[in-house]
Amino acid sequence: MSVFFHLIGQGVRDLFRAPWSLCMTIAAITLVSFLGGAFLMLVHNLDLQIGSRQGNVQFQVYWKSDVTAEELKEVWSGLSSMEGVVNVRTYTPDQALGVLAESFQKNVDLEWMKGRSPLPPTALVECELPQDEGKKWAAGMVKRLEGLPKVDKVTFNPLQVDLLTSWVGLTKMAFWPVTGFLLVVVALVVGNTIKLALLARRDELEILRFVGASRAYIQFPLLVGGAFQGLLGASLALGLLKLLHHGIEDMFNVPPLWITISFLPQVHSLAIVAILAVVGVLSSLVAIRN
Amino acid sequence: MISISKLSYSFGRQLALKDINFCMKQGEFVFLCGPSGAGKTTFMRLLHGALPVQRGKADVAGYDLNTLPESRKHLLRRDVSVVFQDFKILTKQTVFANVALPLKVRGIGQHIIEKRVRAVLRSLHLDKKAGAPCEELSGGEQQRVAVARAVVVKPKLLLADEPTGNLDHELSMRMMDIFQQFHKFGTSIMIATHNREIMARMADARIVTLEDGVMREGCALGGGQS
Repeated sequence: MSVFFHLIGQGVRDLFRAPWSLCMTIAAITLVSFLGGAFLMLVHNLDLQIGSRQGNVQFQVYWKSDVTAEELKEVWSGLSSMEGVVNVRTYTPDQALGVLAESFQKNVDLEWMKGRSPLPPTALVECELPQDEGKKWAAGMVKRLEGLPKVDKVTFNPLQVDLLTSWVGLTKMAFWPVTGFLLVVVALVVGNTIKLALLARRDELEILRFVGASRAYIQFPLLVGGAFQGLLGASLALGLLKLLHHGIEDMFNVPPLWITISFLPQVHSLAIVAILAVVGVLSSLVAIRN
Repeated sequence: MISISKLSYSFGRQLALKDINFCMKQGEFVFLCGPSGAGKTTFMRLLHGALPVQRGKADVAGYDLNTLPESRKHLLRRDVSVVFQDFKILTKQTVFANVALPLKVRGIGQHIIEKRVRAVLRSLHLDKKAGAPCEELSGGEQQRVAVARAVVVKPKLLLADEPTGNLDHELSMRMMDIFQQFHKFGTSIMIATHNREIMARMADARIVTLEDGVMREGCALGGGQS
């Protein structure tokens, strides 16, 4: 057992004999893993969005400016009970102004317009589309919403759902080829580093063979080295991804999107680390065997 | 210890060893002599499993080299130690680390390693250099490190390829004394050399000659017949 731990330590120590080579390999693995992780995060978030909006369509209803607060209160209270409606969000002109100011982020101050907001009262009505004849149903819903008292305009994007579905379809189709491509790049980088390490240590390995070292004794530290590079590269990539996520988390959390970007689930993060460690080991194995 | 029958080896079209038949008993001391390029190093490398058997049969220290897979050659090398002509030591590492290496790869405990390495270094007058990196040693000292590394594991068979090639007369004689000591403890020893003086010192050793890849008993360099 002590030999086992000694060889693990040996594998890691050996890598630091050529620190520049190690740094460049880790950088390459980190960047490739970062790309892969970012792609996975995109797919994950698209999946979340399609999951939450699957089959739904959102109608934006704008009222005329002369509508009174009592009239609005009465109409808005009846919206949720309409057929097919799953969610309703309403905005008074001042609330709409607040959302608008938020969307400009911190640089624009619209406080001075409070009480004199030029924006119309608005409702975002999310409906579940029936399986068949969804577009026909949506057109009927527009007519019903337009028929409500003092409604000025009703809009909806009938392509919204189709577009999202198409995006997810496309990314899912590209997922395996892109992932495979990135893994091959990682394998080549790690394999090449191990190969260079073997070349640099050719004499030493020959001596080890001649003094009776078993194949496992010689190869195990090299495999550990490959795994270590994969682990370190993947961990750094996840750190970078977390930084990226921190920066873009609320980028789309503005009207009308209201999308908060989620970080990769824990299981995906662990999978990235595990897969890269395995790729590191396998590519080292191939380099050693060749 | 060694049983060779009709062994031939060629590098491309160049035949290095021709139909060699050779036997060596356990505990024997053999000098393998012959001029440079006669095939001595090739023969030793074959015995150590560094070259594959192309034709003929070879059995060394109980291992059939015709069937021994690459993955099990380390077992042969644990019973057969070699002192190489070019030493093959880790020059960046210390004398102690070099001599301890074969024990470490066998998984022997640090306490035993410490004891055995110190003892061998003392017998080869290297104990004061134990902590010195090998690159700081003279050629003769490096050669003694190579010998120390070979004998520290108490091998069944010790192969030495020109072990006195880089040593002056006095050190050569001292080196032979060391080989004799190990021989007395039962290690079979084969030394490839063309140094007649050291062959003369071991009057009861067997001498075989390799010339143009052909082996025969006795010395063609003018030394005594065994």
